[in-house]
Amino acid sequence: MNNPYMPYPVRIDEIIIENEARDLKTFRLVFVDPEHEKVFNHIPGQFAEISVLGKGESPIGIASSPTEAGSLLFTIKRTGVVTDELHNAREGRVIGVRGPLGKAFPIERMKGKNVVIVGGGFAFTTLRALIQYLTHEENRSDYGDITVVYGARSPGELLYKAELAAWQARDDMTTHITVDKGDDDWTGYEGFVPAILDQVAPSSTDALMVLCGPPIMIKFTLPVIEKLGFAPADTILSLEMRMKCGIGKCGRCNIGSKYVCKDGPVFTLEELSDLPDEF
Amino acid sequence: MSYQEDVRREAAKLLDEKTVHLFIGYADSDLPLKTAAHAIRSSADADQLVWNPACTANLAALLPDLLKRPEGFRGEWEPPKVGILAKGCVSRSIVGLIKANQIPRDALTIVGIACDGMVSRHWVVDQLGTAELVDATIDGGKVSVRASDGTEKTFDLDEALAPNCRVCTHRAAVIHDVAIGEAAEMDVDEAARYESVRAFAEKALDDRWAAFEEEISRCIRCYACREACPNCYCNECFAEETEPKWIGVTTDLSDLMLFHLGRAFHQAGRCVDCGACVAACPQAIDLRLLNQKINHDVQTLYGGEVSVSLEQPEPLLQFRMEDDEGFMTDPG
Amino acid sequence: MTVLKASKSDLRKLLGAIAGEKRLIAPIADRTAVRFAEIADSAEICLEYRNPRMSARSALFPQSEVLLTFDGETATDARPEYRETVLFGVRPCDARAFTMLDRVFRWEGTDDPYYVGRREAATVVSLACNESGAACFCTSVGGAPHDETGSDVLAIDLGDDVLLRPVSERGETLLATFAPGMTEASEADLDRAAKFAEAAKAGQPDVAIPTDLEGLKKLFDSEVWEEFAMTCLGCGACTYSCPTCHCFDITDEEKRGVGYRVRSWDTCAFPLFTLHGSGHNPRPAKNARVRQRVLHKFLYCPENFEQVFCVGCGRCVTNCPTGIDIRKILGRVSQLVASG
Repeated sequence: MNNPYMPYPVRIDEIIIENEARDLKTFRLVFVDPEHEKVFNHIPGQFAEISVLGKGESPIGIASSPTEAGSLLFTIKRTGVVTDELHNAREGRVIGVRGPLGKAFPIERMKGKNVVIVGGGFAFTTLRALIQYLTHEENRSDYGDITVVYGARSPGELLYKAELAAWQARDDMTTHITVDKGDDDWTGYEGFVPAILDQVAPSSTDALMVLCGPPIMIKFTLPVIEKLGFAPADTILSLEMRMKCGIGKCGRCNIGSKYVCKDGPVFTLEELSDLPDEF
Repeated sequence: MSYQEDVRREAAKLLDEKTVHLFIGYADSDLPLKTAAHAIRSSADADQLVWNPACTANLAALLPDLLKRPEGFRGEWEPPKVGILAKGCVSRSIVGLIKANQIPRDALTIVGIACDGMVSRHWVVDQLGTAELVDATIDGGKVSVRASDGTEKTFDLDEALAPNCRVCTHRAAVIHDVAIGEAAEMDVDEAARYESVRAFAEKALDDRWAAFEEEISRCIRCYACREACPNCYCNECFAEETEPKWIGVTTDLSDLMLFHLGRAFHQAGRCVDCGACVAACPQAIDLRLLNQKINHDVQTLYGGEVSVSLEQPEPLLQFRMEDDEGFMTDPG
Repeated sequence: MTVLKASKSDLRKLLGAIAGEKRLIAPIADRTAVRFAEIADSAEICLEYRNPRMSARSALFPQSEVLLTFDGETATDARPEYRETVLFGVRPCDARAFTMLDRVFRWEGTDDPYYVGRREAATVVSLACNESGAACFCTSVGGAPHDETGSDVLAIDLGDDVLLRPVSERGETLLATFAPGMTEASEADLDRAAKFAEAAKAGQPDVAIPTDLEGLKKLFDSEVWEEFAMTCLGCGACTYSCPTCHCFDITDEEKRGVGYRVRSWDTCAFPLFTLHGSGHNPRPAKNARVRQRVLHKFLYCPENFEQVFCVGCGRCVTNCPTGIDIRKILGRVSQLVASG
């Protein structure tokens, strides 16, 4: 019987320091056994449990698209026991990955629609996976207009600077980058994400909205999204909760009758309003 | 001597006069020899309160949570005024909590009550073999019980008393705003008080280890002992810390032993031998095996009484020139 | 399927024969209580008890279980060959609970191989209740003292004799293998058993179970949870004695690079259960945790599995150190739901 508690061994191929505070790192992980990569097949929005033997596991959103074959990307903030160990790890070390887990972004439902992607801070990780997927040459024509609004505290805190530049250079998508406070070299927007979204005012006709960010950003962005005319069923978010098993058994991520690991982490605003006010 | 009516009257009075918002005492449960901790807000509910030899729980354990600012609460907050029925050991726990800055004295109205000891439900159930305790009456110094297999037994109340109650040194509240009843004078000498410790120490080392293992291996890490204890108020218990990880969360014997040994040592100089941990344990583990040993050592090495007055310094919180230093010079 | 009859001594012989070939887990009278243990000698088996203090759930879902072992960077699946096991003496409430654990551990196509491995290797010979316990209320939650749900064989104690009613094919096979040629129960025997079942049912109170799920949802923000939480110690006594509780924690134990990943029972009653790495806790106060315990069993599981996750064994009532009584909580909650 398949054992969903056994991690796939993966090698840390590259570690990229994402921010000035050096507490956000992106890890490029390569499957030790190529057969594992064949069955992994994730969809943007899903997460995996990163396993560090001796320390434990952490549920982390997958930042790479399945179209970016050969490796998986995870952007991880240094927080506790497991992530501490990861941040101290060197390239070449073998750790583990369990997954893919959870419900993905509704990429099928997005077909033929315009997609507006709004992200803030380091919650942008799975949105990167989504954008890379939607804009991949094999997929691009399936989707309408793609608009991205992404903000961070300062230019140094922006993730995936190379990808941001690449997206901005494309003419088949619009990318708006903002920072709370710019520096002397900054030429982009300056302001909080909700304000910039209000300014950009993407149309909600035939469009789906995907939103990921820290709670405070979500709180102030939701009214803007409502104002723009996006229905709760068309507003898609990704939740975080304390998790352990990742497969809907241990009960830790249970909210109401839902399990964030299994019924989420992607939820529409409509689904979320059905959940008890507990998070 | 039942002070039940006095308890009800006093609680009703305090609530009616708005001296307290809440009164904590005991109520009947549906099960024999078991009471529930109970909180009332209105004098109309005062007749729900009871006082009998099954009022085992140490109510002081509920105080820190009741009297602390709710998480995320913004603005002006005052702790509720709480009345609490305090038998001797409960009042000592209250002293301990006040001195440890865990609860504010002025939020409390302590109704001290003279206690003649509590029945050990574990002991009574033990006398019934595998049958279930179905009915019990306590009257005239006797405990009469009926078991599910039809057996009827009667015990002297003295026989059925919890072991810690038998050697209790403070039957009346050591701190109170109101006092109910007169406590019988306790004449417990040191020999009697720590008899269980002495008897255990006389066993051979291997036998002691085996006995310890037998008791502790039943533990299911439910932490009822810890939560029932007023002294265990730490926001993060050593048993659950991950950085560093002192012990694991499993029921591996080493994890069990370290949890109980650790908790016993953390009680040193603070345990008032209220027996709440033993009564709370769903597996009837004799936790006093450890706690009384620690209590005995503290008493022997440093003397003094634990948590008997707000003014008197605690045995482990004062340094005297004559304190025993043998642990350093002659650990043996 | 034919109901068989055996004398008590023949029953012990039967169990002895089973212990010789399979792993037999049955109740024994420990110094302090009746508990389930692995049996070598069937003479050890206790047949006179209302219900073992701890539920039978640890036979299929042990309190601590090693998931994998590791050495450096290599992890190895720690699943053993699950031995064929017969669980004897499980009361119908605990047996029924197994069917609920089955739903969780096999949910949405993801099988928990540790639980499923043990489950598939287990044959449940439950022992019907001829009388109800002091805190029992199985009849209020869809169970019954002679209920067969979750059992492979239902044993019924008639005093000198025991009836053995096969419930499943697995149960029939067990009896055919180990008790060939056992006598058939007579009509009179079956009649006596039925009378015991009725008497046991009659001994139970009627506990009001809130079945209006929408109404129950509306109680989420009610102050009643605060009321219940006031005397809750926040320990795990209720959840750990519960036959249907299944939450667990996964931790790693390691020394110099060698160790294991183990899962252990956990409880929503502990604040640590939902504490995020960031420090945020969605259920910071006891009222939220008491609410979670009750709603998980009586609202969320019915929503997910069309099944209340309580079998009315009453262990939480008996074991709660501060005398909190789920029956009273349910009564009050039902009242509130009914009054809108």
